[in-house]
Amino acid sequence: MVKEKISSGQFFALLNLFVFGTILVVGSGLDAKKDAWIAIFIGIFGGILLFMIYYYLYKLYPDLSLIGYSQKLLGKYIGGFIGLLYIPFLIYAAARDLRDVGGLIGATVLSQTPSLFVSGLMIFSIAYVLYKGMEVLARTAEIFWGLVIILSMLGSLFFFLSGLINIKQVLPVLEFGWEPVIQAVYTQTIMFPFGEMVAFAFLLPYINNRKKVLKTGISGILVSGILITYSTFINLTVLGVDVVTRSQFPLLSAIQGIEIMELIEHLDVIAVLTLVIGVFFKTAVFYYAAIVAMADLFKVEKKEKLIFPTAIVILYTSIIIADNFPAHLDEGKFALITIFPLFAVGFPMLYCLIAFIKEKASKHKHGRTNKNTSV
Amino acid sequence: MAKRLLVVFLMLAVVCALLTGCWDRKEMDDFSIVAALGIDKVEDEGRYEVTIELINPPEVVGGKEAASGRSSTTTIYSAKGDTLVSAIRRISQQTPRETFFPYTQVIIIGEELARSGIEDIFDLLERNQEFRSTPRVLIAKDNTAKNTLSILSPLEKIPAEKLLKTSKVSGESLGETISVKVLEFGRKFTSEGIEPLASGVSIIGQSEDGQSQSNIEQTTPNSLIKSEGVALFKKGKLVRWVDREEARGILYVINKIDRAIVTLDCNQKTKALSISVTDTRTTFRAFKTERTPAIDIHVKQEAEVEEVLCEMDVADRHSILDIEKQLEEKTKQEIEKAIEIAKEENSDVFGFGEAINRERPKAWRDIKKNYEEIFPELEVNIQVDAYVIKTGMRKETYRRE
Repeated sequence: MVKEKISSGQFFALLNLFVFGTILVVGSGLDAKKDAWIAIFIGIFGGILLFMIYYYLYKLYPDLSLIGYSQKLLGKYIGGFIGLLYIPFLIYAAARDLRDVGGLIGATVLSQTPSLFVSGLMIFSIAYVLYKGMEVLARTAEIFWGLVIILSMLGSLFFFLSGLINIKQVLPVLEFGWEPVIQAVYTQTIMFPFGEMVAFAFLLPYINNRKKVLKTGISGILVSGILITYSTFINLTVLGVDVVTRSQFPLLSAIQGIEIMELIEHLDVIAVLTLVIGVFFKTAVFYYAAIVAMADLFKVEKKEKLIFPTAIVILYTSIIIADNFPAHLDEGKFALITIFPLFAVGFPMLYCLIAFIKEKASKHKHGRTNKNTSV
Repeated sequence: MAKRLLVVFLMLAVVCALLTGCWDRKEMDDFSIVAALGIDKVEDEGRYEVTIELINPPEVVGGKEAASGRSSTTTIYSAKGDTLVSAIRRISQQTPRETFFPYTQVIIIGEELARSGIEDIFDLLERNQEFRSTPRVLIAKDNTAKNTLSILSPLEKIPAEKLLKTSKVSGESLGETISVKVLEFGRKFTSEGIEPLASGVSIIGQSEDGQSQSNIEQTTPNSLIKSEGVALFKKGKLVRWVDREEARGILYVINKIDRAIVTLDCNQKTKALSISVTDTRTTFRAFKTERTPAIDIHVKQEAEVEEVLCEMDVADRHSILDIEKQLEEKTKQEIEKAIEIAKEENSDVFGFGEAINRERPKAWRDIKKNYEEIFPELEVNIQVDAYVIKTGMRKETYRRE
């Protein structure tokens, strides 16, 4: 059914970049203050659990996207209706990320440029890549994964050399106990970034080596999770929790502080590149998931036809979802505890349950028929 | 085919429109680099007077255009306004070029403003994307930032550079001043249990001359900038200047001393032995006592003998031990004095409160609210270990018989 194939290495890279996406920028778990990094670290395990849900469904229906098994499990109409809801959700998620990059680049680097042009450039380059197909996106991800890793290694090296890291700024660990941390875990860090992985429920059928999906998925979550824990930790040790919580783009502020031998300074480009690369792939994944959903639901043969119209929709949505950037961020917090849990946990859990019961029932039936025949 | 061409054409049109990036382009000759920013308090025409020091590129790099060498390397502009931004924008009435802030090296705050409170000035420095967290904060002692920035100086072409380097070099070789980044200043300002401090700069020989090129054409300039003193803040207001040994005492505690010169007594002659401290490491910990937490300071010093003005035999191990003991005692006294001053002003520039929070979070929660009453009473134990490791190129000093 699916012609294009991506390797597990490419899946790993894509998953990594997806998780880095906007989190390196907007930050997550900051309700836990100094312990945000712990909240993110714990979030990884929530992420793995979520991935197990998607994997369970994938294992049962390896050729189908979420839409496909939703229709199989709940019938053509109810399943189709829930599937239909996923389309605006995925478009909304893509538009949010696009808005993030537009807003942040506008606030920090290109202050005079209208964010429409930043977002427009971004979405049309993504559209072009997707037009060329999923495989191209995956291969691009592989290359940029290397770049991001090099950038983060360079960045870390410079942070250590510049002597800006002051571990004292995250002490005492757990100043207010576990409570705020746990709260930040389930209100923020599980959903963002890990809950957003629901988009991969639409892309898993493209992976060519099915046996490796679980292993690659979990290692991808672990690696990216540890990296974002690390980057949050660095931000906190360099800037201090006060500055991090009031920064739009903490990583950029932290990197601007680097001064080594009056020679290596003004390294803004590292932060901005990481932001742009991460958001590119994150938006692309949501975007492509939306395309897959539409194509599956409405039985569109040629997915390419959907790409450019959807680009326009995402771009337009990214502009109208909020009046201004603070409103956008505020809405994001709201979405994280309402819309995202419903789509990332609620429905997949429901499917899981139904699939599990069906499986049991069919086994039972199967077992009984076996018994009957044996008699 | 025609359709394909149309698509290609459309895409090219979109790309052309998007890729030019015309909005944020800046041509080199349209803007001027700001080397320093000075902020003063004024009564009339607004709250602040902002002074900026713009670099005149041809005069700095040299070359044909600067052949005369007469015009100054930098120009000072200032304007007043209710907010910093409105004052900065007002400067554009005087300059032909746009101001460009990312390379600002120092931010000077006039003493009057510092005394009346600088809590509001950091918002712009954090919020505006042109400012970085790296400029150093200096306080113009007994003067305005405007006057301080106006003094031209020999050796360095750009006064801002001169300010920065003077403060850095004297901090490194004398150990009585400190270079504080905006980020650090702002962080201490907003954190609990620590107050910021900053170094001062003052003008020696204030004269009109200092502002003109002729000042630096003499071997003894009429006006000079001097880096001196450390300003203690309390709730965003400058409360006290400390200088020399007192300043050093503070810097010892916060572990910001690289090198310092200490004068000790030798036999009967007082202040006749110069010891150069080459390395100091300070750590402090909070520990629990029955009432409130207390602080343990541990200082480790390495030193060498620089100058001997008496008959002391520094080649003798026992006299080295004596020097070490004296140095320990001296450092301890300086630290005690510094802590006493900070307690008098009730300004915890050392971050003892932070240390208590870090190490005894439970105790901190109890005392956080009335820390102001606790800090002046805080028990502080000081332990100093000094090691003299070198005595220079000679063993004993020459005999004066």
